[in-house]
Amino acid sequence: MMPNRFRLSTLAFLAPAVIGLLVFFIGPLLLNVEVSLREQGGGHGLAQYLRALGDAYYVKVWLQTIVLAACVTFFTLLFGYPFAFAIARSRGPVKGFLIFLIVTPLLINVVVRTFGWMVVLGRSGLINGTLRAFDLPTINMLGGWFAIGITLVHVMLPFMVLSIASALEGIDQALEQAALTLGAKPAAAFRYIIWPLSLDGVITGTLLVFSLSIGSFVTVMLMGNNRTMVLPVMVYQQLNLSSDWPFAAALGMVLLVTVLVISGIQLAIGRRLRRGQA
Amino acid sequence: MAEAASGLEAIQVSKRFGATQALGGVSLSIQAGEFMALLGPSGCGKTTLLRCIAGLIDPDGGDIRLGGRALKGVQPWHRDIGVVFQNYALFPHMNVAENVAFGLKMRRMKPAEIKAKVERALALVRMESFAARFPSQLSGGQQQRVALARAIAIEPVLLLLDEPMAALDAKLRGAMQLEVRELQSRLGITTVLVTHDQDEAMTMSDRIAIMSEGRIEQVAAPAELYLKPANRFVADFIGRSNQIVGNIVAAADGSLALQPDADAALRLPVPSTAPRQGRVLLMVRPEAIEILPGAVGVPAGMVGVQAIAADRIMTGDRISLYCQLGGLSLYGTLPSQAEKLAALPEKGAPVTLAWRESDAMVFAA
Repeated sequence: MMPNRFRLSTLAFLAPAVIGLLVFFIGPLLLNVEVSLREQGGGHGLAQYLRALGDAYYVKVWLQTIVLAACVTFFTLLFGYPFAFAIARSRGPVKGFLIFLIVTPLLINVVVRTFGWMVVLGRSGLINGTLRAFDLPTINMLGGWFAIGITLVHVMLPFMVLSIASALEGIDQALEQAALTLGAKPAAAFRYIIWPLSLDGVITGTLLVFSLSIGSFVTVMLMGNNRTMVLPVMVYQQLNLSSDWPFAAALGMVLLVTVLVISGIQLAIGRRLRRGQA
Repeated sequence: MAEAASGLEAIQVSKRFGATQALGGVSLSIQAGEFMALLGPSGCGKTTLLRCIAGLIDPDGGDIRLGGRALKGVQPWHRDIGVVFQNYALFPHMNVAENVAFGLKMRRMKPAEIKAKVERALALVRMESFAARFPSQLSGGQQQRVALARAIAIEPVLLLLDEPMAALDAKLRGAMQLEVRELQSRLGITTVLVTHDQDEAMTMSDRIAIMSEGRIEQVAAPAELYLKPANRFVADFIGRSNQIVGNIVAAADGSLALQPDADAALRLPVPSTAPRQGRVLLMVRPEAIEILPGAVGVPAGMVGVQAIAADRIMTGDRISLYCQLGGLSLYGTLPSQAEKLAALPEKGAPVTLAWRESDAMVFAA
């Protein structure tokens, strides 16, 4: 009797999550697949996918999307790792302040945050205003990849920093001290001990940041121009401007598969790295 | 295997953490090849001193010299000091061989040389067959051996052991203590052990430095420390003892005696080395007390008191008999032997407690 009842109650507890996932995630995804396979004149086929992958413009947009996400991930890692290190090594109120500092972008609405960057980067903004005050030539930084990148790196930093900081905090400080007493200079202790042991956090952080930034839409819309086209914006245009639902659905599927494949590659590289360092 | 062992000299080493004076001008001289323990209660500064020697902490003042070379300004990675950390600090992402090879790799040795040295170091701790295992696949004792092999593989001029046995169970700890001691004397490497376990310090060391509140109380061989403690702290910290606080008073015949605070009517004999007056602490180790059934009188050449037998407590290898005299309680111990146990006075029976005058220790209280 007991095992049965146990199994039933387990199922009962799981049910809301399972039903929620089926209804709101798997279901729409399957519907999306169906829509993407629709062809003009009624039947089903791969026409939308062939159209997306056969056209140089769409392929270019696809590559731009990947490169943007990869660059954002790279720079987030570059700036985030030292910050995570500072958080892991600090104590008490300093640590609290640093964590607060890093999560602030998440507390601010995406549109407000983006306008904040416009104020900083704009023609009469903080940077150009300062340049002008010294009679230096001004730089147009708005409306392009640079503005998109800097805004995305800013909002993605907390995901990277918190992932890495928690991995770094799990490393016993005695390991680094042991390395030093064994003759490793601090740089070598980092290279051989701290870096490989923090790889778990780095992998988590890069996966999060990559998959979040490859799907970013509002930031690209607000900070970009007509040349900074990426897949999410294109999906939006196909839906709202062209009302081409099957093509939008196909582009969405291309984006999803891209994220899955690249995440898989990232995971594999991470595992390889961890073993290689050992 | 080790290079020529080096002596270590600490001169007036001091270190302050905020409001705490962790080390208050500690001076200590350790000879080449000697095994020295730093023993004391937690917070006495022993670990701070060890970390200063390793270069993991910079002392505020004073000097540490290793083999005549001043260590001030020498970074830990240039000190050639092997350290075994409290929880071994084995690198979890490296296997046993890679852990042991790490220090050699940092010294940019040739792979063939590294391989030979790793094998030799692992053989010394009898871990050759575990070279490909990862630390998480090893027991506590095996991890400790690997940590030891890693520390001695770099052929250090000094070996530091930071509470190395704390995480082992009692049986294994005893075996490892002897094994490490044997290895140390075979390699002839100068060694400093930090521990709060006095049995461990006594088992392993040539000499022990007793530390308390950032100072060294006494440096001596284990036997001397136990039998001739330099001060009240050492006498109290090492071993067990009967401790009686009171005033020195003169008896009618002019001889001196102790009037205990616990019972002012009592007079206890004090050794001739005791101060002529004032408050003192009299300490007698329980195994120095001879327990004689009945009011038989104190044997010649000894001093003692008449008392009433109270509780007896059996703790494995010895029996303690607690005795009451007035408001005072004294206890003596005997080895656990059936015949001795049978001869012990019953509860409430009169008993004579006697000890040699030289076994009593008196300190100003």
